[in-house]
Amino acid sequence: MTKGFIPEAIMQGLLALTPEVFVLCLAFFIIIADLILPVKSKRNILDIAAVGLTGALLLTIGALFQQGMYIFNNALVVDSFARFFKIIILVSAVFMLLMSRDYKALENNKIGEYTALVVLVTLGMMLMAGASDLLMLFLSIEFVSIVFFVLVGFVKKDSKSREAAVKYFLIGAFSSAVFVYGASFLVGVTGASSFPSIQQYLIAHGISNLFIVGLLLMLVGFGFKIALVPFHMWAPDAYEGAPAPVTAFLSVASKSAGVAVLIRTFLAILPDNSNVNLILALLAAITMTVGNLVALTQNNAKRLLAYSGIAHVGFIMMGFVAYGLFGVQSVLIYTLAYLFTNMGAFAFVIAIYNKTGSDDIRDYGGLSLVSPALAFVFFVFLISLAGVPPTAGFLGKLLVLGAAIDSGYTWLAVIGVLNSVVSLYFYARIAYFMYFAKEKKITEAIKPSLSLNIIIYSSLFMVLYICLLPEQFLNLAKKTVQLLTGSFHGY
Amino acid sequence: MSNLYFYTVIIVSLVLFLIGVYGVLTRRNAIGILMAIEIMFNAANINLVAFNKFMHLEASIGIIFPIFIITLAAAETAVGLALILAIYRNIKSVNVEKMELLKW
Repeated sequence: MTKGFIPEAIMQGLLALTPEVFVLCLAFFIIIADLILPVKSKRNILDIAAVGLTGALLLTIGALFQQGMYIFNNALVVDSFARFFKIIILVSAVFMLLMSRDYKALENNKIGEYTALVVLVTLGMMLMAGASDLLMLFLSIEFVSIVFFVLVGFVKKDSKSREAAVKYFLIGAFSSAVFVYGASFLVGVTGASSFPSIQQYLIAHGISNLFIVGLLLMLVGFGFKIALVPFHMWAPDAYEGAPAPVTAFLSVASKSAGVAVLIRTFLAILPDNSNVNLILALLAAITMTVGNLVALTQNNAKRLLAYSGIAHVGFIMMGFVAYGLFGVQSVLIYTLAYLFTNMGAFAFVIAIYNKTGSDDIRDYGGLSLVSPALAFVFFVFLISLAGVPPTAGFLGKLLVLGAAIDSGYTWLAVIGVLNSVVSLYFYARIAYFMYFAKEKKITEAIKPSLSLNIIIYSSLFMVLYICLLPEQFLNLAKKTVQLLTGSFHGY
Repeated sequence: MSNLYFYTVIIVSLVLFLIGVYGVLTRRNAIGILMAIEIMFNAANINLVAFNKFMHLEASIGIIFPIFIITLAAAETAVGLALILAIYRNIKSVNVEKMELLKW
Protein backbone atom coordinates (compact mmCIF):
# COMPACT_ATOMS: atom_id res chain seq x y z
CA MET A 1 0.00 0.00 0.00
CA THR A 2 2.55 2.55 1.03
CA LYS A 3 5.29 3.07 -1.47
CA GLY A 4 8.34 4.78 -0.10
CA PHE A 5 8.39 7.20 2.78
CA ILE A 6 5.13 9.10 2.36
CA PRO A 7 1.82 7.22 2.10
CA GLU A 8 0.15 7.47 -1.29
CA ALA A 9 -3.00 9.25 -0.11
CA ILE A 10 -1.01 12.03 1.55
CA MET A 11 1.25 12.36 -1.48
CA GLN A 12 -1.79 12.72 -3.72
CA GLY A 13 -3.21 15.39 -1.42
CA LEU A 14 0.02 17.34 -1.36
CA LEU A 15 0.21 17.20 -5.16
CA ALA A 16 -3.32 18.59 -5.44
CA LEU A 17 -2.33 21.34 -3.00
CA THR A 18 0.85 22.35 -4.87
CA PRO A 19 0.01 26.09 -4.78
CA GLU A 20 -0.66 26.00 -1.02
CA VAL A 21 2.56 24.11 -0.31
CA PHE A 22 4.37 26.63 -2.46
CA VAL A 23 2.88 29.56 -0.54
CA LEU A 24 3.80 27.94 2.79
CA CYS A 25 7.43 27.50 1.66
CA LEU A 26 7.40 31.12 0.49
CA ALA A 27 6.30 32.26 3.95
CA PHE A 28 9.21 30.43 5.62
CA PHE A 29 11.59 31.77 3.00
CA ILE A 30 10.44 35.31 3.77
CA ILE A 31 10.94 34.85 7.50
CA ILE A 32 14.52 33.73 6.82
CA ALA A 33 15.10 36.54 4.31
CA ASP A 34 13.91 39.00 6.95
CA LEU A 35 16.64 37.79 9.28
CA ILE A 36 19.38 38.02 6.65
CA LEU A 37 18.66 41.21 4.71
CA PRO A 38 19.87 44.59 6.03
CA VAL A 39 17.21 47.12 7.04
CA LYS A 40 17.78 49.29 3.98
CA SER A 41 16.84 46.62 1.47
CA LYS A 42 13.91 45.17 3.42
CA ARG A 43 11.40 46.64 1.00
CA ASN A 44 12.65 44.07 -1.50
CA ILE A 45 10.99 41.36 0.58
CA LEU A 46 7.67 42.67 -0.70
CA ASP A 47 8.85 42.12 -4.28
CA ILE A 48 10.02 38.59 -3.49
CA ALA A 49 6.65 37.79 -1.97
CA ALA A 50 4.77 39.33 -4.89
CA VAL A 51 6.78 37.29 -7.39
CA GLY A 52 6.30 34.13 -5.34
CA LEU A 53 2.56 34.61 -5.06
CA THR A 54 2.38 35.28 -8.80
CA GLY A 55 4.01 31.87 -9.25
CA ALA A 56 1.34 30.28 -7.04
CA LEU A 57 -1.28 32.16 -9.05
CA LEU A 58 0.02 30.72 -12.32
CA LEU A 59 0.05 27.22 -10.80
CA THR A 60 -3.58 27.65 -9.77
CA ILE A 61 -4.68 29.04 -13.13
CA GLY A 62 -2.94 26.17 -14.91
CA ALA A 63 -4.92 23.61 -12.93
CA LEU A 64 -8.23 25.51 -13.00
CA PHE A 65 -10.36 22.94 -14.80
CA GLN A 66 -8.87 19.76 -13.38
CA GLN A 67 -11.39 17.29 -12.00
CA GLY A 68 -12.35 18.07 -8.41
CA MET A 69 -11.48 15.63 -5.62
CA TYR A 70 -11.52 15.28 -1.87
CA ILE A 71 -8.17 14.98 -0.13
CA PHE A 72 -6.91 14.30 3.41
CA ASN A 73 -9.90 12.24 4.53
CA ASN A 74 -12.41 14.70 3.05
CA ALA A 75 -10.93 17.59 5.03
CA LEU A 76 -10.34 19.62 1.89
CA VAL A 77 -11.81 19.63 -1.56
CA VAL A 78 -9.86 20.82 -4.56
CA ASP A 79 -12.15 21.73 -7.45
CA SER A 80 -12.60 24.54 -9.95
CA PHE A 81 -14.85 26.47 -7.58
CA ALA A 82 -12.15 26.52 -4.90
CA ARG A 83 -9.48 27.34 -7.47
CA PHE A 84 -11.54 30.23 -8.84
CA PHE A 85 -11.64 31.83 -5.40
CA LYS A 86 -7.97 31.01 -4.83
CA ILE A 87 -7.19 32.98 -8.00
CA ILE A 88 -9.16 35.96 -6.68
CA ILE A 89 -7.36 35.73 -3.33
CA LEU A 90 -3.92 35.44 -4.92
CA VAL A 91 -4.52 38.33 -7.34
CA SER A 92 -5.59 40.58 -4.50
CA ALA A 93 -2.62 39.45 -2.40
CA VAL A 94 -0.21 40.37 -5.20
CA PHE A 95 -1.93 43.75 -5.66
CA MET A 96 -1.85 44.31 -1.93
CA LEU A 97 1.90 43.66 -1.74
CA LEU A 98 2.47 46.06 -4.63
CA MET A 99 0.40 48.71 -2.86
CA SER A 100 2.40 48.25 0.34
CA ARG A 101 5.68 49.01 -1.43
CA ASP A 102 5.34 52.73 -1.06
CA TYR A 103 2.74 53.02 1.65
CA LYS A 104 4.37 55.52 3.95
CA ALA A 105 2.98 54.41 7.30
CA LEU A 106 4.88 51.11 7.18
CA GLU A 107 8.32 51.26 8.75
CA ASN A 108 11.24 49.59 7.01
CA ASN A 109 12.23 47.35 9.91
CA LYS A 110 8.72 45.88 10.19
CA ILE A 111 8.37 44.96 6.52
CA GLY A 112 9.62 41.40 6.96
CA GLU A 113 7.05 40.51 9.62
CA TYR A 114 4.33 42.26 7.69
CA THR A 115 5.06 40.36 4.47
CA ALA A 116 5.28 37.01 6.24
CA LEU A 117 1.89 37.64 7.85
CA VAL A 118 0.36 38.61 4.51
CA VAL A 119 1.67 35.46 2.83
CA LEU A 120 0.44 33.28 5.70
CA VAL A 121 -3.00 34.84 5.69
CA THR A 122 -3.14 34.20 1.94
CA LEU A 123 -2.45 30.55 2.67
CA GLY A 124 -5.22 30.56 5.29
CA MET A 125 -7.73 31.99 2.85
CA MET A 126 -6.75 29.48 0.17
CA LEU A 127 -7.44 26.69 2.66
CA MET A 128 -10.72 28.37 3.57
CA ALA A 129 -11.84 28.33 -0.04
CA GLY A 130 -11.31 24.54 -0.15
CA ALA A 131 -12.50 23.55 3.32
CA SER A 132 -15.03 20.73 3.28
CA ASP A 133 -14.99 19.69 6.90
CA LEU A 134 -16.39 21.63 9.85
CA LEU A 135 -13.14 21.26 11.77
CA MET A 136 -11.08 22.44 8.80
CA LEU A 137 -13.56 25.25 8.25
CA PHE A 138 -13.26 26.43 11.84
CA LEU A 139 -9.47 26.17 11.83
CA SER A 140 -9.03 28.05 8.56
CA ILE A 141 -11.49 30.79 9.49
CA GLU A 142 -9.71 31.29 12.81
CA PHE A 143 -6.33 31.22 11.10
CA VAL A 144 -7.40 34.03 8.80
CA SER A 145 -9.13 36.04 11.55
CA ILE A 146 -6.24 35.89 14.01
CA VAL A 147 -3.68 36.99 11.43
CA PHE A 148 -5.94 39.80 10.29
CA PHE A 149 -6.35 41.05 13.88
CA VAL A 150 -2.59 41.56 13.91
CA LEU A 151 -2.45 43.08 10.42
CA VAL A 152 -5.21 45.60 11.18
CA GLY A 153 -3.32 46.80 14.25
CA PHE A 154 0.02 46.74 12.52
CA VAL A 155 0.85 50.45 12.54
CA LYS A 156 1.76 50.79 16.19
CA LYS A 157 2.23 54.55 16.15
CA ASP A 158 -1.30 55.12 14.93
CA SER A 159 -3.78 54.87 17.79
CA LYS A 160 -6.63 54.50 15.31
CA SER A 161 -5.02 51.33 14.04
CA ARG A 162 -4.79 49.87 17.55
CA GLU A 163 -8.34 50.75 18.38
CA ALA A 164 -9.56 49.21 15.14
CA ALA A 165 -7.66 46.02 15.93
CA VAL A 166 -9.18 45.72 19.41
CA LYS A 167 -12.70 46.26 18.12
CA TYR A 168 -12.16 43.83 15.26
CA PHE A 169 -10.74 41.30 17.69
CA LEU A 170 -13.57 41.49 20.22
CA ILE A 171 -16.31 41.14 17.61
CA GLY A 172 -14.34 38.50 15.72
CA ALA A 173 -13.72 36.33 18.77
CA PHE A 174 -17.36 36.63 19.80
CA SER A 175 -18.66 35.60 16.39
CA SER A 176 -16.25 32.69 16.14
CA ALA A 177 -17.47 31.47 19.54
CA VAL A 178 -21.06 31.59 18.27
CA PHE A 179 -19.92 29.87 15.08
CA VAL A 180 -18.28 26.99 16.91
CA TYR A 181 -21.28 26.59 19.21
CA GLY A 182 -23.43 26.19 16.10
CA ALA A 183 -20.94 23.79 14.56
CA SER A 184 -21.08 21.70 17.75
CA PHE A 185 -24.78 21.08 17.10
CA LEU A 186 -24.08 19.99 13.54
CA VAL A 187 -21.34 17.63 14.64
CA GLY A 188 -23.48 16.44 17.53
CA VAL A 189 -26.54 15.64 15.46
CA THR A 190 -24.73 13.94 12.61
CA GLY A 191 -21.76 12.47 14.46
CA ALA A 192 -19.52 13.52 11.60
CA SER A 193 -17.71 16.65 10.57
CA SER A 194 -16.87 16.25 6.90
CA PHE A 195 -19.43 17.47 4.38
CA PRO A 196 -19.76 14.15 2.49
CA SER A 197 -20.50 12.27 5.73
CA ILE A 198 -22.98 14.92 6.86
CA GLN A 199 -24.67 14.64 3.46
CA GLN A 200 -24.94 10.88 3.84
CA TYR A 201 -26.43 11.26 7.30
CA LEU A 202 -28.99 13.78 6.07
CA ILE A 203 -30.01 11.56 3.15
CA ALA A 204 -30.53 8.66 5.55
CA HIS A 205 -32.14 10.47 8.52
CA GLY A 206 -33.53 13.72 7.17
CA ILE A 207 -32.98 17.17 8.61
CA SER A 208 -33.77 18.03 12.23
CA ASN A 209 -34.56 21.33 13.91
CA LEU A 210 -31.42 21.20 15.98
CA PHE A 211 -29.45 20.96 12.75
CA ILE A 212 -31.08 24.12 11.39
CA VAL A 213 -30.42 25.95 14.67
CA GLY A 214 -26.77 24.99 14.42
CA LEU A 215 -26.58 26.15 10.83
CA LEU A 216 -28.13 29.52 11.68
CA LEU A 217 -25.65 30.01 14.53
CA MET A 218 -22.88 29.22 12.08
CA LEU A 219 -24.29 31.90 9.81
CA VAL A 220 -23.19 34.42 12.47
CA GLY A 221 -19.60 33.35 11.91
CA PHE A 222 -19.92 33.56 8.15
CA GLY A 223 -21.78 36.84 8.42
CA PHE A 224 -18.94 38.31 10.43
CA LYS A 225 -16.40 37.18 7.87
CA ILE A 226 -18.22 38.78 4.93
CA ALA A 227 -19.69 41.72 6.92
CA LEU A 228 -23.34 40.86 6.55
CA VAL A 229 -25.48 43.46 8.23
CA PRO A 230 -26.30 42.53 11.79
CA PHE A 231 -22.66 41.42 12.13
CA HIS A 232 -21.01 44.23 10.17
CA MET A 233 -20.20 46.60 13.03
CA TRP A 234 -16.48 45.87 12.92
CA ALA A 235 -16.06 46.58 9.21
CA PRO A 236 -16.11 50.40 9.04
CA ASP A 237 -13.88 50.78 12.11
CA ALA A 238 -11.40 48.12 11.02
CA TYR A 239 -11.30 49.51 7.48
CA GLU A 240 -10.70 53.05 8.61
CA GLY A 241 -8.08 52.19 11.20
CA ALA A 242 -6.10 49.58 9.29
CA PRO A 243 -3.25 50.52 6.95
CA ALA A 244 -4.82 51.12 3.52
CA PRO A 245 -3.26 48.08 1.76
CA VAL A 246 -4.59 45.85 4.54
CA THR A 247 -8.00 47.47 4.14
CA ALA A 248 -7.99 46.67 0.43
CA PHE A 249 -6.94 43.11 1.15
CA LEU A 250 -9.51 42.70 3.91
CA SER A 251 -12.30 44.03 1.76
CA VAL A 252 -11.58 41.85 -1.25
CA ALA A 253 -9.75 38.66 -0.30
CA SER A 254 -11.21 37.99 3.13
CA LYS A 255 -14.68 38.72 1.83
CA SER A 256 -14.34 36.45 -1.22
CA ALA A 257 -12.98 33.64 0.94
CA GLY A 258 -15.96 34.09 3.25
CA VAL A 259 -18.36 33.99 0.31
CA ALA A 260 -16.65 30.83 -0.94
CA VAL A 261 -17.05 28.92 2.34
CA LEU A 262 -20.57 30.20 2.82
CA ILE A 263 -21.66 28.99 -0.60
CA ARG A 264 -19.90 25.66 -0.30
CA THR A 265 -21.25 24.95 3.16
CA PHE A 266 -24.82 25.77 2.28
CA LEU A 267 -24.71 23.90 -1.02
CA ALA A 268 -23.12 20.86 0.60
CA ILE A 269 -25.13 20.40 3.77
CA LEU A 270 -28.51 22.00 3.22
CA PRO A 271 -30.79 19.81 1.11
CA ASP A 272 -33.99 21.83 1.36
CA ASN A 273 -33.13 25.48 1.19
CA SER A 274 -36.51 27.22 1.13
CA ASN A 275 -36.80 28.42 4.76
CA VAL A 276 -33.18 29.25 5.36
CA ASN A 277 -33.15 30.93 1.97
CA LEU A 278 -35.83 33.36 3.03
CA ILE A 279 -33.68 34.39 6.00
CA LEU A 280 -30.70 34.85 3.67
CA ALA A 281 -32.83 36.92 1.31
CA LEU A 282 -33.94 39.19 4.15
CA LEU A 283 -30.34 39.56 5.34
CA ALA A 284 -29.28 40.43 1.79
CA ALA A 285 -31.96 43.12 1.53
CA ILE A 286 -31.06 44.64 4.93
CA THR A 287 -27.34 44.48 4.14
CA MET A 288 -27.71 46.34 0.86
CA THR A 289 -29.96 49.00 2.33
CA VAL A 290 -27.98 49.69 5.49
CA GLY A 291 -24.65 49.69 3.62
CA ASN A 292 -25.84 52.17 1.03
CA LEU A 293 -27.77 54.46 3.35
CA VAL A 294 -24.96 54.85 5.87
CA ALA A 295 -22.44 55.37 3.07
CA LEU A 296 -24.35 58.50 2.03
CA THR A 297 -22.95 60.54 4.91
CA GLN A 298 -19.36 59.30 4.98
CA ASN A 299 -16.45 61.61 4.32
CA ASN A 300 -13.52 59.29 4.95
CA ALA A 301 -12.71 57.45 1.73
CA LYS A 302 -11.78 54.19 3.46
CA ARG A 303 -14.90 54.25 5.59
CA LEU A 304 -17.04 55.03 2.57
CA LEU A 305 -15.54 52.10 0.70
CA ALA A 306 -16.21 49.94 3.77
CA TYR A 307 -19.92 50.72 3.66
CA SER A 308 -19.95 50.33 -0.09
CA GLY A 309 -18.30 46.93 0.45
CA ILE A 310 -21.09 45.98 2.86
CA ALA A 311 -23.63 46.95 0.21
CA HIS A 312 -21.78 44.83 -2.36
CA VAL A 313 -21.97 41.83 -0.04
CA GLY A 314 -25.73 42.33 -0.07
CA PHE A 315 -25.68 42.02 -3.85
CA ILE A 316 -23.47 38.94 -3.71
CA MET A 317 -25.90 37.34 -1.26
CA MET A 318 -28.74 38.18 -3.62
CA GLY A 319 -27.07 36.09 -6.30
CA PHE A 320 -26.49 33.30 -3.81
CA VAL A 321 -30.09 33.32 -2.61
CA ALA A 322 -31.08 32.57 -6.21
CA TYR A 323 -29.14 29.29 -5.90
CA GLY A 324 -28.76 27.07 -8.93
CA LEU A 325 -26.32 27.24 -11.78
CA PHE A 326 -27.20 30.79 -12.74
CA GLY A 327 -27.16 32.13 -9.20
CA VAL A 328 -23.72 30.82 -8.26
CA GLN A 329 -22.40 31.82 -11.67
CA SER A 330 -23.57 35.40 -11.13
CA VAL A 331 -21.85 35.42 -7.73
CA LEU A 332 -18.56 34.39 -9.35
CA ILE A 333 -18.75 37.14 -11.97
CA TYR A 334 -19.75 39.70 -9.35
CA THR A 335 -16.83 38.75 -7.12
CA LEU A 336 -14.42 38.99 -10.04
CA ALA A 337 -15.74 42.43 -10.96
CA TYR A 338 -15.61 43.53 -7.31
CA LEU A 339 -11.99 42.41 -7.05
CA PHE A 340 -10.69 44.61 -9.85
CA THR A 341 -12.95 47.58 -9.18
CA ASN A 342 -12.20 47.75 -5.48
CA MET A 343 -8.48 47.18 -5.89
CA GLY A 344 -8.35 50.00 -8.44
CA ALA A 345 -10.28 52.35 -6.17
CA PHE A 346 -8.04 51.58 -3.19
CA ALA A 347 -4.93 52.12 -5.30
CA PHE A 348 -6.23 55.65 -5.89
CA VAL A 349 -6.97 56.23 -2.24
CA ILE A 350 -3.38 55.21 -1.45
CA ALA A 351 -1.89 57.31 -4.24
CA ILE A 352 -3.73 60.39 -2.97
CA TYR A 353 -2.89 59.56 0.66
CA ASN A 354 0.80 59.30 -0.19
CA LYS A 355 0.62 62.77 -1.72
CA THR A 356 -1.61 64.66 0.70
CA GLY A 357 -1.67 62.47 3.83
CA SER A 358 -5.45 62.63 3.96
CA ASP A 359 -8.22 60.10 3.37
CA ASP A 360 -10.97 62.70 3.42
CA ILE A 361 -12.91 62.93 0.16
CA ARG A 362 -13.42 66.65 0.68
CA ASP A 363 -9.67 67.00 0.20
CA TYR A 364 -9.88 65.53 -3.30
CA GLY A 365 -10.80 68.92 -4.78
CA GLY A 366 -8.75 69.99 -7.77
CA LEU A 367 -7.69 66.49 -8.74
CA SER A 368 -9.27 66.83 -12.17
CA LEU A 369 -7.30 70.02 -12.91
CA VAL A 370 -3.83 68.79 -11.98
CA SER A 371 -4.09 65.24 -13.29
CA PRO A 372 -7.16 64.91 -15.52
CA ALA A 373 -6.32 61.46 -16.89
CA LEU A 374 -6.04 59.94 -13.41
CA ALA A 375 -9.23 61.62 -12.29
CA PHE A 376 -11.04 60.09 -15.23
CA VAL A 377 -9.71 56.60 -14.47
CA PHE A 378 -10.83 57.01 -10.85
CA PHE A 379 -14.22 58.04 -12.20
CA VAL A 380 -14.41 54.81 -14.21
CA PHE A 381 -13.80 52.77 -11.04
CA LEU A 382 -16.46 54.75 -9.22
CA ILE A 383 -19.09 54.10 -11.86
CA SER A 384 -18.08 50.45 -11.88
CA LEU A 385 -18.72 50.36 -8.12
CA ALA A 386 -22.08 51.97 -8.75
CA GLY A 387 -22.84 49.50 -11.55
CA VAL A 388 -23.09 51.77 -14.58
CA PRO A 389 -22.21 50.42 -18.04
CA PRO A 390 -19.73 49.88 -19.67
CA THR A 391 -17.95 48.51 -16.62
CA ALA A 392 -17.57 45.17 -14.92
CA GLY A 393 -19.72 46.28 -11.99
CA PHE A 394 -22.62 46.67 -14.38
CA LEU A 395 -22.31 43.13 -15.72
CA GLY A 396 -22.09 41.76 -12.18
CA LYS A 397 -25.19 43.62 -11.04
CA LEU A 398 -27.09 42.64 -14.18
CA LEU A 399 -26.38 38.95 -13.65
CA VAL A 400 -27.17 39.03 -9.95
CA LEU A 401 -30.47 40.82 -10.53
CA GLY A 402 -31.29 38.43 -13.38
CA ALA A 403 -30.60 35.43 -11.16
CA ALA A 404 -32.82 36.81 -8.40
CA ILE A 405 -35.73 37.44 -10.78
CA ASP A 406 -35.18 34.07 -12.39
CA SER A 407 -35.72 32.26 -9.12
CA GLY A 408 -38.75 34.27 -8.07
CA TYR A 409 -37.19 36.82 -5.73
CA THR A 410 -38.58 39.80 -7.62
CA TRP A 411 -39.02 41.87 -4.44
CA LEU A 412 -35.34 41.39 -3.67
CA ALA A 413 -34.38 42.47 -7.19
CA VAL A 414 -36.51 45.61 -6.81
CA ILE A 415 -34.74 46.48 -3.56
CA GLY A 416 -31.46 45.84 -5.36
CA VAL A 417 -32.28 48.26 -8.16
CA LEU A 418 -33.42 50.94 -5.71
CA ASN A 419 -30.18 50.49 -3.80
CA SER A 420 -28.18 50.89 -6.98
CA VAL A 421 -29.82 54.27 -7.50
CA VAL A 422 -29.01 55.33 -3.94
CA SER A 423 -25.42 54.19 -4.28
CA LEU A 424 -24.99 56.31 -7.39
CA TYR A 425 -25.32 59.38 -5.17
CA PHE A 426 -22.35 58.80 -2.89
CA TYR A 427 -20.07 57.58 -5.65
CA ALA A 428 -21.00 60.65 -7.65
CA ARG A 429 -20.26 62.73 -4.55
CA ILE A 430 -16.60 61.67 -4.72
CA ALA A 431 -16.57 62.56 -8.41
CA TYR A 432 -18.18 65.89 -7.56
CA PHE A 433 -15.38 66.79 -5.15
CA MET A 434 -12.82 65.68 -7.74
CA TYR A 435 -14.25 67.75 -10.54
CA PHE A 436 -16.28 70.66 -9.18
CA ALA A 437 -15.17 71.42 -5.63
CA LYS A 438 -14.48 75.11 -5.12
CA GLU A 439 -11.63 74.53 -2.70
CA LYS A 440 -8.70 73.15 -4.68
CA LYS A 441 -6.81 71.19 -2.05
CA ILE A 442 -4.65 69.26 -4.50
CA THR A 443 -2.39 71.66 -6.32
CA GLU A 444 0.37 69.44 -7.68
CA ALA A 445 -0.01 66.61 -10.16
CA ILE A 446 -0.39 63.21 -8.53
CA LYS A 447 2.19 60.77 -9.84
CA PRO A 448 1.46 57.24 -8.63
CA SER A 449 4.54 55.05 -8.35
CA LEU A 450 5.19 52.29 -10.85
CA SER A 451 3.60 49.59 -8.68
CA LEU A 452 0.44 51.63 -8.13
CA ASN A 453 0.28 52.35 -11.85
CA ILE A 454 0.46 48.62 -12.59
CA ILE A 455 -2.51 48.02 -10.28
CA ILE A 456 -4.52 50.95 -11.59
CA TYR A 457 -4.11 50.20 -15.28
CA SER A 458 -4.40 46.42 -15.09
CA SER A 459 -7.56 46.84 -13.00
CA LEU A 460 -8.90 49.38 -15.48
CA PHE A 461 -8.20 46.98 -18.33
CA MET A 462 -10.00 44.13 -16.57
CA VAL A 463 -12.95 46.28 -15.53
CA LEU A 464 -13.59 47.29 -19.13
CA TYR A 465 -12.66 43.91 -20.59
CA ILE A 466 -15.06 41.94 -18.38
CA CYS A 467 -17.96 44.10 -19.46
CA LEU A 468 -17.19 44.53 -23.15
CA LEU A 469 -16.23 40.91 -23.89
CA PRO A 470 -18.11 39.01 -21.19
CA GLU A 471 -18.55 35.77 -23.10
CA GLN A 472 -15.40 33.98 -21.98
CA PHE A 473 -15.88 35.04 -18.38
CA LEU A 474 -19.44 33.75 -18.45
CA ASN A 475 -18.22 30.47 -19.90
CA LEU A 476 -15.49 30.26 -17.31
CA ALA A 477 -17.95 30.85 -14.48
CA LYS A 478 -20.40 28.33 -15.92
CA LYS A 479 -17.77 25.65 -16.27
CA THR A 480 -16.51 26.39 -12.77
CA VAL A 481 -19.95 25.91 -11.27
CA GLN A 482 -20.54 22.74 -13.27
CA LEU A 483 -17.34 21.25 -11.88
CA LEU A 484 -18.32 22.11 -8.29
CA THR A 485 -17.77 18.98 -6.21
CA GLY A 486 -19.96 17.80 -3.38
CA SER A 487 -23.11 19.84 -3.88
CA PHE A 488 -26.43 18.37 -2.82
CA HIS A 489 -28.08 19.54 -5.98
CA GLY A 490 -25.64 18.57 -8.67
CA TYR A 491 -25.42 20.91 -11.62
CA MET B 1 -32.26 7.67 32.70
CA SER B 2 -29.26 8.42 30.56
CA ASN B 3 -31.53 10.48 28.34
CA LEU B 4 -32.35 12.77 31.25
CA TYR B 5 -28.66 13.06 32.04
CA PHE B 6 -27.96 14.00 28.42
CA TYR B 7 -30.48 16.83 28.47
CA THR B 8 -29.05 18.11 31.73
CA VAL B 9 -25.61 18.37 30.18
CA ILE B 10 -26.95 20.11 27.09
CA ILE B 11 -28.85 22.60 29.22
CA VAL B 12 -25.70 23.29 31.23
CA SER B 13 -23.88 24.09 28.01
CA LEU B 14 -26.74 26.29 26.82
CA VAL B 15 -26.71 28.20 30.11
CA LEU B 16 -22.95 28.65 29.86
CA PHE B 17 -23.36 29.95 26.31
CA LEU B 18 -26.01 32.44 27.38
CA ILE B 19 -23.90 33.61 30.31
CA GLY B 20 -21.13 34.22 27.80
CA VAL B 21 -23.39 36.19 25.47
CA TYR B 22 -24.73 38.22 28.40
CA GLY B 23 -21.20 38.93 29.53
CA VAL B 24 -20.11 40.11 26.09
CA LEU B 25 -23.10 42.40 25.78
CA THR B 26 -22.91 43.97 29.24
CA ARG B 27 -19.21 44.11 30.15
CA ARG B 28 -17.39 47.34 29.46
CA ASN B 29 -13.97 45.96 30.30
CA ALA B 30 -12.18 44.41 27.32
CA ILE B 31 -10.63 41.67 29.49
CA GLY B 32 -14.07 40.86 30.88
CA ILE B 33 -15.44 40.50 27.36
CA LEU B 34 -12.54 38.18 26.55
CA MET B 35 -13.38 36.01 29.56
CA ALA B 36 -17.04 35.85 28.55
CA ILE B 37 -15.96 34.70 25.08
CA GLU B 38 -13.88 31.93 26.66
CA ILE B 39 -16.98 30.73 28.50
CA MET B 40 -18.80 30.56 25.15
CA PHE B 41 -16.03 28.43 23.66
CA ASN B 42 -16.31 26.06 26.62
CA ALA B 43 -20.05 25.76 26.10
CA ALA B 44 -19.29 24.44 22.62
CA ASN B 45 -16.76 21.99 24.06
CA ILE B 46 -19.26 20.56 26.55
CA ASN B 47 -21.82 20.27 23.77
CA LEU B 48 -19.48 18.34 21.53
CA VAL B 49 -18.36 15.90 24.20
CA ALA B 50 -21.90 15.34 25.46
CA PHE B 51 -23.31 14.63 22.00
CA ASN B 52 -20.42 12.29 21.34
CA LYS B 53 -20.94 10.38 24.58
CA PHE B 54 -24.70 10.00 24.37
CA MET B 55 -25.50 9.88 20.68
CA HIS B 56 -22.48 8.81 18.64
CA LEU B 57 -20.29 6.76 20.90
CA GLU B 58 -18.49 5.21 17.93
CA ALA B 59 -17.44 8.56 16.45
CA SER B 60 -14.27 10.22 17.70
CA ILE B 61 -14.80 13.65 16.18
CA GLY B 62 -16.63 14.94 19.27
CA ILE B 63 -13.50 14.31 21.34
CA ILE B 64 -11.02 15.64 18.79
CA PHE B 65 -12.88 18.85 17.96
CA PRO B 66 -12.69 20.31 21.53
CA ILE B 67 -8.92 19.84 21.61
CA PHE B 68 -8.61 22.08 18.57
CA ILE B 69 -11.07 24.59 20.03
CA ILE B 70 -9.10 24.81 23.29
CA THR B 71 -5.84 25.34 21.40
CA LEU B 72 -7.31 27.98 19.13
CA ALA B 73 -9.02 29.80 21.97
CA ALA B 74 -5.63 30.03 23.68
CA ALA B 75 -4.01 31.40 20.52
CA GLU B 76 -6.80 33.90 20.06
CA THR B 77 -6.53 35.05 23.67
CA ALA B 78 -2.78 35.53 23.31
CA VAL B 79 -3.24 37.82 20.31
CA GLY B 80 -6.17 39.57 21.97
CA LEU B 81 -4.29 40.31 25.16
CA ALA B 82 -1.40 41.70 23.12
CA LEU B 83 -3.78 44.03 21.29
CA ILE B 84 -5.48 45.11 24.51
CA LEU B 85 -2.09 45.78 26.08
CA ALA B 86 -1.14 47.89 23.06
CA ILE B 87 -4.23 50.05 23.38
CA TYR B 88 -3.77 50.28 27.16
CA ARG B 89 -0.46 52.02 26.53
CA ASN B 90 -2.30 54.64 24.49
CA ILE B 91 -5.43 55.44 26.43
CA LYS B 92 -4.46 54.07 29.89
CA SER B 93 -7.68 52.13 30.07
CA VAL B 94 -9.20 48.86 28.89
CA ASN B 95 -12.73 50.22 28.94
CA VAL B 96 -14.29 49.75 25.50
CA GLU B 97 -16.38 52.90 25.90
CA LYS B 98 -13.18 54.94 25.96
CA MET B 99 -12.25 53.63 22.51
CA GLU B 100 -14.05 56.30 20.56
CA LEU B 101 -11.66 57.53 17.89
CA LEU B 102 -13.55 55.61 15.24
CA LYS B 103 -17.25 56.30 15.04
CA TRP B 104 -19.92 55.99 12.39
